[in-house]
This record gives sequence, C-alpha cells and structure tokens, in this order.
Amino acid sequence: MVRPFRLRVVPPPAVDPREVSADALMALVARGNESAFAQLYDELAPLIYGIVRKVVRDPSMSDEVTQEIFVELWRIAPRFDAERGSVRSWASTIAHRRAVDRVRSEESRRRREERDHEQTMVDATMDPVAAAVDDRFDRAEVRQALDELTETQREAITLAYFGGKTYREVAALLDIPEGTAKTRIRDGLIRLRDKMGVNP
Amino acid sequence: MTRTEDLHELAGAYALDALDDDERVRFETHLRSCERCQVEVAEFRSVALALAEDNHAQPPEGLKASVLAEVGETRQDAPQLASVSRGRFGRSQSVLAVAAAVALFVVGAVVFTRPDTDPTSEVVAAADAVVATLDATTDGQTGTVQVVWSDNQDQVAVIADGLADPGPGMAYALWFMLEDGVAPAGLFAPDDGSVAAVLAIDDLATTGWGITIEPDTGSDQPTTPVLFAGSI
Repeated sequence: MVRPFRLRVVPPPAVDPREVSADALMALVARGNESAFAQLYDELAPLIYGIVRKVVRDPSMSDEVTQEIFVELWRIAPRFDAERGSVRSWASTIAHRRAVDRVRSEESRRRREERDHEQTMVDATMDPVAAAVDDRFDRAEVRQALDELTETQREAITLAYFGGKTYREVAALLDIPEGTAKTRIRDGLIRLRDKMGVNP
Repeated sequence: MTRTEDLHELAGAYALDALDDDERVRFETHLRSCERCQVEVAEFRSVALALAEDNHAQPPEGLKASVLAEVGETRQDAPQLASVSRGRFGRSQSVLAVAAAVALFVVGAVVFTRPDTDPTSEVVAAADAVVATLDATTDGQTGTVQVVWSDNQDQVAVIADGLADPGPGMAYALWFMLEDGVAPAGLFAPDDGSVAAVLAIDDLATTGWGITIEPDTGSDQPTTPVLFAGSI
C-alpha cells in the first residue's frame, strides 16, 4: 500500500539550535564537527563560566581558564562515553577540576615567591565564606535543599565546591577538625542528593 | 596509613575536588575497585552539577571567537578503544562492528561506503556541513537521528542511535522533503540500534528530511508513517 502524501501531511518541525541538546551535539563534536562544537559552546558556556568565575574569581584569568577548558573538551570529545553520564555532568566535572588546579597552582606559586622574598604570606584564600555564596541564581529546588543543611554542612560544601578549597583548608577556615570537615561534606552531599532526587 | 572505612568517607570531598594530590591518588586507586564509592561519586557529581546549574554566568562576548579559533587549530584525541565497543556513539567505530559488516542497501543514486573507518567523519568535518537533528514524530518513538549534509561533497551522513530493529526484510529509509513531494535518499540498517552511514546525493534542493521503515528493496514513495522528521 502506497501512501505518498504521508510526508507532506507531517510538517517538518523547525530545529531550534538551542533545543538540540548537548548530548545530541556531542556525537558530532566527537567526529570533529566544529559547527556542532560552536553550538555546544553556546549550550555549555554559562554553566562552565559560572563555575570558573566562582572558583577562580579573577575575570581575566577566568577567561583564560574557560578557554583552556573548552579546548580540552574539544580535544577529548572522541573519548566521551555517554553511558557514563551526561555531557553537562562530564563538562562541569572537568571544568571544576581545571579551575581548582589553576587556583591551587597560583597559590603555591604565590607562596613560593613570597617565601623567596621573605615576605609575610598574605593568604589570598582567606575570603569570607559569604563571598562564595553571593550572587547565585535562585533556583527553588537547589536553594530549598541547601536550606535544609546544617550551617556547617552548607559552609563546608560551598567552600569546597565554589571556593575550590580542600577539606583540610575548609577545616582550618571553619576552625573544625579535619575529620569533621570531611564528614560534613559527605553528609551534606548525601542530604542534598536525597532532597534533589539526583540521578547520576 | 588510611583504613578502607576512611577512604569511603573521602567520596564527598573527592567529588568536589577537595582532596589534595596525595589523597586524591590514593582515593582513585580505591575507587577503581569500590562500586559503592563509584555510585556515590557519580551521585555527588550530579549534586555538584545542580549547584553549578544554579550559578550560571555569561562569559564575555569575545571568548567564543577565541575558543573557536584555537579549536580550529587543535587536533582531537583518538577515541578510547577499550570503551568504544560499549560506547553509545562509539560502536560504529569499533573493530567488532566492522567485523559484523553492517548491511546497507542502495537505492537509485545512492552509493554505500563500507565503514572500515568511521565513514561519516569526512562529511561531518566538512567546512560547509549543516546539522539537523530529526525529531521523533510520535512519543513512543525511541532513538536519536542526526543528519549532516555537505553540499561541497554531495554527501549526507546519517548518525543514529537507539533505533528499534526495523524487522526482517526491512530497513530504515531517508527521504528528501521537496517542494512538491518527497524523494528517496537511501536506505540504512542499524547495527544494534546504531548507525553511522554516508549516502551520496547529487541534488540538495531539499527543505528537510524524513525517515520511515521500508522494505529493504527500497520504495519510490513512503509506505509507512514518518518516524523522524526535521527541516534544514
């Protein structure tokens, strides 16, 4: 039976580039498609830049780190495995790691230089906790879940994730034992996970 | 010396990149063999993603151009062969898949290239490549289909994943959507739901693409409802 009019009856839906998900684009990026990567950039840039600005703080260094991250995402795209998670999760994990790496290497460079000059170390990492939680977009679910954490859990997670601190630094900043900082981070994440109904 | 129980405790700090280098290396060694920690780290990373999604910031205007300029000069890594045979998109590139010799069928002007290497890489990387993601026309339809065509190369690549088996003697058909009707672009058969095939075309006066299931001998016109459609 031939129904030649079928295709004309179903109007082709317009493809809005913004609706092409990061996951769908990734299959093409992994095959070297630069225009798909340009679309992927638009899709991921606010997420990646948000992470980097929070952790790195300095605007021009943030731009530099963001560029490095995107070039790395391009370079390793063929190795992306969709079975192990979403593109957004993969990209945000890499971005956070790179931002933290940069902050830590800058800090150790600064410490070295200061030691060389026999100067008193000015600890640029000692920004108040509040700075790491300001100017966040309010999304009800995340905020509500964060609200249900204890003060220490919230501070420990925020300092670690957005402040780029190790749990030992978190312990020093909050003046709590290292073991406690470690546990607060994990307990807090478990509580957030349960509240948000997270699917990895 | 850290006891195993303590290592489990590090999953949270690890997921947030809050371990120093020594501990990270130690935890990663533990992680490879600890399923419980693997699950926990994946969950915690999803939590971290939710925090980050709540914290978007707009990068400066010029950054995209600098990124794309550098990307244009950066070679991509080779796919990881170990995971490719199980990977969602990697399957077509795997030795196994090549050995399985995906059967493709030829209609009209269509030429079929056997995928000794990924046959789509050339058209996908073409400077004039245009990408369309085809949308499923019914809710129950599984799979994703993307079509990439290059006018310069007179080729169109079909990259699909998660497609249902078309059934014995049947294949998927790609159609041109023309001003005054439809025309066949070629047939393709997914291997375990995935396909990465290149079809040769010589006329691109098309406004979109459609996909149906047809007998593997080909049809002049669609004989079954459209499963996926998309415009250029």
